[in-house]
Amino acid sequence: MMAREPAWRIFAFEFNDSMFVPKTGQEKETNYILTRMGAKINRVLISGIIENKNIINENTFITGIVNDRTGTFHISADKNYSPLKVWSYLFSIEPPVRVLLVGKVRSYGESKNLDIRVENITECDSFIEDYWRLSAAINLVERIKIMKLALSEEKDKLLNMGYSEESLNSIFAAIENFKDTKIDAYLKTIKEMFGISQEEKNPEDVILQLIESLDFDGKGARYEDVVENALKEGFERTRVDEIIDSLLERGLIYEPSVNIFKKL
Amino acid sequence: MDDKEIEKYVEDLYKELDGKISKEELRKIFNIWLSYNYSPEKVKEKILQKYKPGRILKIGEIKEEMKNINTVGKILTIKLTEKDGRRTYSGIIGDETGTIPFTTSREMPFKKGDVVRITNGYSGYFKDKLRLYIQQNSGVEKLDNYKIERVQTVPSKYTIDKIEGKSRNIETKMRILYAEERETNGKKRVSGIAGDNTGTIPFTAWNKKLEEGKSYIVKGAYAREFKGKIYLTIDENTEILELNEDVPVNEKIITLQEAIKSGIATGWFEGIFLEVSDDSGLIARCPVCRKILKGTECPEHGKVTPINDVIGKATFDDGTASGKVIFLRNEMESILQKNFEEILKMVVSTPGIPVIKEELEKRILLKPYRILGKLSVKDQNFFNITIFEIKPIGNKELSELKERLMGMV
Ligand SMILES: [Zn+2]
Repeated sequence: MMAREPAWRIFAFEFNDSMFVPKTGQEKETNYILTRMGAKINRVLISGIIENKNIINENTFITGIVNDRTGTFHISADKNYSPLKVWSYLFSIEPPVRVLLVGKVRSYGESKNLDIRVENITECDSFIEDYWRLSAAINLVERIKIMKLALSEEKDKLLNMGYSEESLNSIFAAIENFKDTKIDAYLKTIKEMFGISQEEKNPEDVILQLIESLDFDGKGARYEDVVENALKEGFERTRVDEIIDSLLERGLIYEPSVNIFKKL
Repeated sequence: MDDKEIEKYVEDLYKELDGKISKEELRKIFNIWLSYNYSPEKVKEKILQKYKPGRILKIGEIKEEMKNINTVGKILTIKLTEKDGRRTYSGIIGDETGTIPFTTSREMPFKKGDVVRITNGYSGYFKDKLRLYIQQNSGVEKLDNYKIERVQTVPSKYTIDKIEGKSRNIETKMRILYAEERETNGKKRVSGIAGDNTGTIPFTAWNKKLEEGKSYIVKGAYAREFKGKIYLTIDENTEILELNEDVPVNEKIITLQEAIKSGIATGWFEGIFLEVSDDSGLIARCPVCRKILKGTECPEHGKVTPINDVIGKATFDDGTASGKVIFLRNEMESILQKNFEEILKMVVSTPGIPVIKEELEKRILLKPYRILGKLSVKDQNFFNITIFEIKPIGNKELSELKERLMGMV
C-alpha cells in the first residue's frame, strides 16, 4: 500500500518558486514539484481568497485564482473527474470568498503551467486562515533551519540528528537545482508577514523559567536539579552559576535555604 | 508555629526520651529555643543532643552542624586518594532514610556493601553538600550481623521532557491524561499517558491507584527505554501523593512523521481532518472480546449476542503525513455532543441516511484539531491513531503557535 501523500501547508510565493520533478517514465507516476526551500509536494492545503473564477469548456471545467497575500495559486475542477461536492461548490460561489482547500498539483497546457486540482474545499473564517498561515510559516521556517544545516554538514550527520531521509533528499536536491537558496530573503518575508523583530532568547529567562518549573513543592528548586536540566538546554555549568548569581543579585530569586532557589 | 504543632514535637520528644523529661519541661525548653529563631527541627535536635547524647541517628536525621554523631550505614561507594603523603577516604553511606557523603583521613579498611557503625562524627556543608566527617578520635567498626536491605536515595526532580531511559529514582509532578486499568497475574496495572508543561510520557503503575484527570507527585519512579521511546515505571516502592490543583500540561505537539519514524506511539498531534470514512457509524461488538463483528458470530467466541457501539473513522493530516484516526464511543459522544442513547435515537429516526458520518463531517471536516492519541504503525506506509482526547484549535492554541514561530526565527 502506498503512503497517502501529506497535504503541505505552503505559501503561494514558495509554491510558485518551484520546478516539476522530472518523471522517470513509470506508469501512474505521481506528480511532484520541488520548491526552492526543499519541499517535494504532491498535495497541498491552502487558504486564501478566491479572487475570480471562470467556467469554461461548455460548463465542464472551472478555473480560479486563490490569493493568500503572498501570491496566487491557480486552481481547477473538472465536471467529470472532480468530486460532485467540489464541483457544485465552485460552480455556485461568487468571488471573493475565503476558503480552505486541499488539492493535488498538476501541470497543464503547452507551457506546463502549475495548477492545483481541488479535492475538497470549504468556506472558512479569518481564524482558520490565520491558523493556516501560522502552520505554513512554521513548516517553512523548519525547512529553512534544516537547509542551513545542509549547506554546511554532511547528510549522514543530519540523518543522525534525526531528520528523515526523505526530507533531507528533497532539501539536498533543492540546493543542487536552485543554486542560490535565497534563505535570507525567505526569512525576511516571514518576519515581515508576522511583524517579528529580531530578538534572542534571554539565557537569564531560561534559567529563571527552570527555577520556577522545578519548584515542585513551593519550597524552591534544588541547585543540582537546576544545573542538571540547564546542561540539557545547552548551558555550561559555570554559566549557570554566573546566571544564578546575577539573578540573586538582581533580586529575581532568593535562597530560602542552602542551595535551594526560589523565584520571587 | 502554633501550639498544636509544638505539641506534636513535644509528644515526639517525650517518647524519644522515654519519659525522662516531663512534657511541661520539654514545652518550656522548646519554646525558649524557638524564640531564638531556630527551626523546630533544629530545636528537636538540640534537645535530643543534650538529653540523649549517645543515641544512634538515622542517616536521614543528620542535619547541618551536628557534633558527636553516632550512626550506622551501608557503604555505597568508597575510594582512597593519596596526596602529598596524606591518605583520604571518601564515599557515600546510606540507610533506609537517606544517604550522605563522608570524608576521613582515618583508616577505613572497608569495601562497598559493608555495614559500619560510626561514633563521634560531625557534619557540615562542603562544596554545596552536607557531609559526614569522621575524625581521628571517631570510632568506626564493621558490623557483620547488621543488615540494611534498602537504601533510600533522595529522588532527583525532573520535568517530563528531561527524563531519560537511564533515569532512576525520579521525582516528578504530573497529570494523568489517559489511564487504562488491567489485571496481569493478579496484579493491578494502570497504564496510560502522563504530562506536565514540558511534555508527555507513557507510564505503567503497579498496584497503585492513578486516576485519569488527576494530578500527582510521584517519588521514586524509574524510566526505561524501549525502541527509542521512554517509559515511566511506577512500582510498589514509588511514593504517590495526590495534588489538589491541576498540573498544567503543555500539549507539546509531535509531528506524525516524527512519531512514525521514532516509533513514538502516543502524543498530541495537530492537524486537519480531510475526509470522513463511509464506515463511520453503528457497529456490533462481541460482548466478550469486544471484537467488531459482521454478524452474530465471533471467530473466537462463536455465537454471541452482540452489543451495540459507535465508531468514527477519518483521515487526519498534519502536513507531514496523513493517516486514519479512529474515534471510539467516548470520543464520538464528545464530538457529536450526544450520549450513546441519543446517537442511537438519531440513527433510528433517519433511516437510510448515513447520519453519523454526516454529523461527524459537519463537526470535523476541514477543521483544525489537536488530538491526543495512540499511533500504531501497520507498515511503513500505513498507520492509525486511536483518539483519547480531542479539542478544536482555539485562540489559545493560535497564540501558542505564534509564540512558537517567534521562537524559531
Ligand atoms: Zn469474541
